[in-house]
Amino acid sequence: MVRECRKGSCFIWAILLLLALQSSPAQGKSLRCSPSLIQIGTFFRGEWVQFYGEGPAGSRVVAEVIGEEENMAFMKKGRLGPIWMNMEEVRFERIPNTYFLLWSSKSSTAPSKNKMAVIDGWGYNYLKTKVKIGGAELDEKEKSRLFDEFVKLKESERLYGLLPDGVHVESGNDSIAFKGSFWLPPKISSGDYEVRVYMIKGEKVAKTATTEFKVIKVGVPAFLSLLAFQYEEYYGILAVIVAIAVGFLMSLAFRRR
Amino acid sequence: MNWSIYLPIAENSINILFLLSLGGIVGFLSGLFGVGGGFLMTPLLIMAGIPPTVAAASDSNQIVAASTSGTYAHFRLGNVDFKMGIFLLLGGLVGGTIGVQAISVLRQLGNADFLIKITYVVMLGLVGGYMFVESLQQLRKSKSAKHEIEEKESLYIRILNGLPWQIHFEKSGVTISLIMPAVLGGFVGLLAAIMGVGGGFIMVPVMVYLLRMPMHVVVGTSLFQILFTCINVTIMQAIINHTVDLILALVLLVGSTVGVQLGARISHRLKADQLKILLASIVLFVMFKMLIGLLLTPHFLLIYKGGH
Repeated sequence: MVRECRKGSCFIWAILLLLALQSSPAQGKSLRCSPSLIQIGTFFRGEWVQFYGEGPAGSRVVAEVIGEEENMAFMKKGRLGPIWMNMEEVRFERIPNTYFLLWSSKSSTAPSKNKMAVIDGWGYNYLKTKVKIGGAELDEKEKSRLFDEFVKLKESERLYGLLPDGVHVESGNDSIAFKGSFWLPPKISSGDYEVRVYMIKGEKVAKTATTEFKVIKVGVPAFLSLLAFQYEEYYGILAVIVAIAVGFLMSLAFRRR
Repeated sequence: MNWSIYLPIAENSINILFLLSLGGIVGFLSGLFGVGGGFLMTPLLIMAGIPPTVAAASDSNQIVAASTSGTYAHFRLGNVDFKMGIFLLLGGLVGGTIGVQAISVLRQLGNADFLIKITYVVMLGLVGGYMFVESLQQLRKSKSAKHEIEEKESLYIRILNGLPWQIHFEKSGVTISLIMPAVLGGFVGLLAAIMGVGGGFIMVPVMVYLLRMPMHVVVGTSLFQILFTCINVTIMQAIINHTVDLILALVLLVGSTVGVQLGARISHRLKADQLKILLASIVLFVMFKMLIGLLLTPHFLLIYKGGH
């Protein structure tokens, strides 16, 4: 299925790369992603995605994988006397549903995971400055604490992550070749995802490149999602009929025995 | 071998053998005690990574299958009082509607979660504790305790006999006012709506202690009532919240319908007091687990809206 997808996507890729080359001389053939189309079927349990390309000699590579921005509603836990409970609603606006930051920690000049977590310009710190947290009266300290809790929750779902060994770099005479990989968990949402690669020389970004991949539901999951969200009355009745039928058939099976 | 199955509404993948086992165990308890099992299944599904709203709605869907299978199994054994079940159901629908409105008002006032959790713990503690002590006394056949219970019964029966519209329920072998099942059904419906559960674990003790029904008829009649409650909940959840995952429910119900049949068979072989003490132990276990969960600092201080 993946091979077919790869074959089918080659033509689309060629067009996309052509367009990318025309729009930005710094982007294009320096970055590729495989597979570029991830299909969520009945037995989907997550999938590895790889990206690879070339860059200027002597540069370090940092990559971001960014999902679509969403508005998400959460409940903040708090104590009332000795009891923990859901206190108030907190909304995170325009926050990516998925975010990975990858780099190679093998280089002696590579920053540590802790440093990458707070570095400006990308990573969680960048998301923290970008997100709007509302729904309750919150001061900056509380917003920062809630953002950290949000990251903790997302990391537990493997939808956010800092991956120090996510990129492998090989140095050549006049260029570098890099290859990165990350695991998309089964909880991944359908939609478009972007991979952004920064090639850094010294303290400056020497080159950037972006590519995209798509996640879609296919087969039974796609059909049931369509039914559940577009024809909800039929879906509800179907769910009840199936349940009653299975329950009754199972009774008959046991009766015979 | 890939034993994972993708759940399109929960948007997660889960081991199919885990779901079958979970369905089987909860279905077994359902057939044994006449409870829907939502109070056990939903938290376990949430722990397995299913979003809380999807876990609750899909659980209702699988309970439809388990209670169909269980009601039919108990019907064959002559253990379903349809007349009593219908009165309880009618009361439950009215009580449930009032409960949903009450929760809506309380949510606006900001006290709903506190009330839900406290009601849950108190009700589980009271019901489980009373059943446990009473069943233990019966098993020990303590003469003094038996005498005390009989005295309480006679007072209660006098009150029951004084109520108008007395009806004889042949299958249960009791003659009581139709006010009783309607009001008690309404009370359980109200609590079930506030607590967000089917209410089987409250309904069973209500039938045993307040309606004086024999334990074996109670199990079948409770399942009959739960069947209709869960049909209503499944359709409403599918239409309003889009949270019913048919694949999740299907795998669970295959396990639960097998489990419920085994439970129903064993239920018929066990003594009423043995059944009651087992149910009481499970109810008390769930109560203590909830209480600890309320008192200990949670791992995540932020949860998706709709969670517990």
